[in-house]
Amino acid sequence: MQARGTVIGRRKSTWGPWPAAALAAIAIALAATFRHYSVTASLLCLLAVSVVAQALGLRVGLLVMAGCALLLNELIFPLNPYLVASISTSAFVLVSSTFCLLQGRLPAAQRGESRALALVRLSQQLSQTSLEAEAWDVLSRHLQTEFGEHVIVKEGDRPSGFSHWYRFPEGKAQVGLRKAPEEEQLLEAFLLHSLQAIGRLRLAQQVRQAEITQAREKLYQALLDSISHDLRIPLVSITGALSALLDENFSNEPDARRDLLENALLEADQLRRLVDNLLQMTRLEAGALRVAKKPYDLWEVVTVVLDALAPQFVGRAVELEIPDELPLVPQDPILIGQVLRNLLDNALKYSPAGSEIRLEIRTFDDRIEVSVLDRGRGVTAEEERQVFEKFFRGQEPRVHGSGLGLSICEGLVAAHGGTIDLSPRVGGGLKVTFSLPLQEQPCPKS
Amino acid sequence: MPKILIVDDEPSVRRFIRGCLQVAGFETSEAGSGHEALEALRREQLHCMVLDLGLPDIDGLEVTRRLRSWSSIPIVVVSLRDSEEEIVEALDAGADDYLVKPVGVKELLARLRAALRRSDTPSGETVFHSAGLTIDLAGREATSYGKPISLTPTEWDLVKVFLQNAGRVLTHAQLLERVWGPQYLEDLQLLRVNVSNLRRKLEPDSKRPIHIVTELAVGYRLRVYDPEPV
Repeated sequence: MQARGTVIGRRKSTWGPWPAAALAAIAIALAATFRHYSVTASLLCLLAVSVVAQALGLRVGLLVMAGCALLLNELIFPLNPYLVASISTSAFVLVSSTFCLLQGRLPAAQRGESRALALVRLSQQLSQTSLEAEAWDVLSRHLQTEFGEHVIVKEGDRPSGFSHWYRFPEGKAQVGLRKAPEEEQLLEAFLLHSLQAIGRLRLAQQVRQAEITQAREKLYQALLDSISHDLRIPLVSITGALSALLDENFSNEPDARRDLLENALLEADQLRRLVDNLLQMTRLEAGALRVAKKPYDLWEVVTVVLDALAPQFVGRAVELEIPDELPLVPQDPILIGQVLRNLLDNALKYSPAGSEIRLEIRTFDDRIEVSVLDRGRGVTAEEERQVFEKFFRGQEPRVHGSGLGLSICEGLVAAHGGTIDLSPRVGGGLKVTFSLPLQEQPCPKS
Repeated sequence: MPKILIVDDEPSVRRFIRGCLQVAGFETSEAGSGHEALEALRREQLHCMVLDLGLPDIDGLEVTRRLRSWSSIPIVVVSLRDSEEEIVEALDAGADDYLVKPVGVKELLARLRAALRRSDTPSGETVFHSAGLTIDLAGREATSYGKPISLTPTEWDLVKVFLQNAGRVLTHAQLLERVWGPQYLEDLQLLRVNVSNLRRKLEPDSKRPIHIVTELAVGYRLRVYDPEPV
């Protein structure tokens, strides 16, 4: 694009109307002269001149046409040839001046149009920005395109050569304009538009900040509620059991003691899991999760998790549908183990005793999919998205757990570049599937 | 009676470990920091150390390195969860095994005993018995639950390393280096394939191994059971 404006018009004649006038005069003189010899010859002369004139871009073409018409008229209604000549010349001068005037105006009109277009383009691009920095980029680019070296955007010292300076409020940027009054208007229009856009973006940013603060406060509240309740419940059984052990009434009741102790141990484990979950959630929130990925066999993760869950799964089996050979998947096996554990734990908690729990693994070209299926109550359409929110628990009577499980799963899987979602099953129950890419993915920023 | 040094900056944790060890018949000594630990090791006659990795002054890894420069007594490192990298570092620096807090008494004693066994294994014993497994290194014979097993030379090398460290964890790097050599330190696929093959031959259910057990993100461990089948 040209640096200097976008005016594309016809080449302005540098000699003004005089060459055209001379040619017209010659044409008319010729016509008048040859008129006696042959009308056709005269007409042909005029036509020839007219064509040449048009080719040269002179506006005399039209005039000569007018000359032809007058000549024709004269043939039918003969007049004094000198009168014809003078009328033609006057007509020519009139039309030529009009043309020149218009032509003089034309570039200006075209400039006006191109400025309007430039402003429209600027507005359009500004309306698509969502960050203040982007708006500044757009403005700078458009200033460069429309004004080239006549305009400069600078912070701090003002270089010489620029006569007008505009400063943006609440900022250090200044826009300088070289002395060129016709561009002042356009520049000011540009700057005004940009100012409005930037103002809008700043406001949007403030709204976003407020929303983030609000969400964070809501989370803190949920966290406090969770700590207050979920962490203290297990302590009841633990403290209770230990104090009972110290009591002489229990020293002769081995069965009762055993019962209390086993319960206390389970509760302590529950407490530990809760603390681990809260810690993991905090890490995810703070973007402080460390993912140590190595190519690992998912079978090993499955085995370790099933062994760890064995005490909870007494009386319930997990059916495995896993191919014998699995490809190595880049993963942090501890974190993926947590995901698997959370999902199996949920299946256990939310489905009736004796109902089926399945673990399926499927390999695809680019990813591996792990699914946990149960025959529990499933989720409603509304809950489908909600279940991934922190501290969300279903409508069920209060089940053990913080409500963080799925939210953490989502965070851990995302840290591997994978996805997780759930769907109800035909016949009742839930299927939760998470996928892991088979190729190393760059760790996404939280 | 073996005397065990308990190193942890938390008095309550030391108290718990002390209680467990003394009930099991061990003598104990305690240290609350890395410097205290090194001092105790120089001054006293100690047979084993339980070392917390989260010490306030010098970290457990450094203590391990320094001790290893002049002593080969068994070291069991203890750490909080989510520090598998730390654990692997300590193991590669010479620690014998690890525990993750909170730790149960059974596991604590099992690993300590396995670690102590290393230092007093008589050289004559080459037949390994554990649950349904019988492995004779010298005679190159192995049976799994009555069935004779034929192992490849590489698999024998791998078995040998496991037997020499029976009951103790071995990191991926340690296994790869000792069986294949230092240039194979990163070849997890190679190790995985061979362990998988070994499991298929030795384990009653290769998908739920009970002998060669996975230590996630750390390595593998050959469990030691009483000769009676589980």
